[in-house]
Amino acid sequence: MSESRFVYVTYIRTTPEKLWAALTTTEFMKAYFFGYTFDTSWQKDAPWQLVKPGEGPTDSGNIVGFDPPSRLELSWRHEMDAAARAEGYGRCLFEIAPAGEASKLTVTHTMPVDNSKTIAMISQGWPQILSNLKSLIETGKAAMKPGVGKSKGRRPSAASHHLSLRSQSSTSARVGVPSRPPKLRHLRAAATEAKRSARAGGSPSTSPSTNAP
Amino acid sequence: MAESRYDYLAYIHAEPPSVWDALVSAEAMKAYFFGLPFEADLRVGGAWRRFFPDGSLMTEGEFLEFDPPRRLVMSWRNAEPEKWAEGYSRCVMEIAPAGSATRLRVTQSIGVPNSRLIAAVAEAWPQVISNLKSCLETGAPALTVPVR
Repeated sequence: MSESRFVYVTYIRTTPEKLWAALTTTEFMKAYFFGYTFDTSWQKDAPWQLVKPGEGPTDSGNIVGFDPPSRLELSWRHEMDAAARAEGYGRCLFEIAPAGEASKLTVTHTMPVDNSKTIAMISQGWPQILSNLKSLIETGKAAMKPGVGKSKGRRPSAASHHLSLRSQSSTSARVGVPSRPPKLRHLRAAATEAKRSARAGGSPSTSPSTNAP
Repeated sequence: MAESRYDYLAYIHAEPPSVWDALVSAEAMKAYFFGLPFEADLRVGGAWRRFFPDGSLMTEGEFLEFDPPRRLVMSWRNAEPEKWAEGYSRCVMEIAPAGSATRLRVTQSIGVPNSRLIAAVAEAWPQVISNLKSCLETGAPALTVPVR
């Protein structure tokens, strides 16, 4: 059978429940997904679409498996690039398992075609997004700001707002952040705790106070 | 040619020289490589060895390229008999600036189909690089002992 596949494994210092919340909370996702909105009602069989700010949907599908906190499965079609869109729907499976004092996240993205353009594209994207997710959970800051890779050309301020989800203490950090769902509270607490033990200071480029448009 | 290959990409919020230093430092490996002893002669043609906690040899090889802070290429053999019989693999580590972060790509390959060595490193690299990233970003690893 024809298939293309990308698998990425990362270990994140958090619990499966917190990792699940980070993967299924639209507002929190913006901070590690380069400002994109993952628009869905977060239920089994619900449609989803990934929306690039100012441009529109880049990818879409349905939630075909929703088993907190261990398994999320999406049908997935790329929408913007014509050749990738013509490949139709594939699957993206997120598996979360406890691993010592951390959680193991395995992302398996498959397409039912050989040499899939979709898989070539997401193979560049997932390492950036999942590296950001790990940094955000462990340190309160994403590893990369918009402007790298596929998000090139976007103004750099958007994610800086969302990066500030980590902190409740900074007043300016709240600018532009809509009200946060309660389940983000423990993510923020974990991030704050991690940050306390982390090296002091942060990159000026990711500081909320440098949000010049 | 039949080949086995494993590829891993991570973005780390640190400068390329910090990533390079961590990749060649026995001291840094205590924190991110599960405390396994590492000895190396840090130059092209220099030998490197990694040991189990009991002192027996785990893996060994030679530095084929040594270009700080960009590119490190090693030959790499695993001392376990079935893997030893596969011969040397090649491990390439590439470091590049990527916006506010540093991109680290690890590619390990061997001219053997369905390689046991590559299957083993495919389990290990996500743990080790996750730990490396956590150590550089937070000062502590994600995992203190390896998991299956």
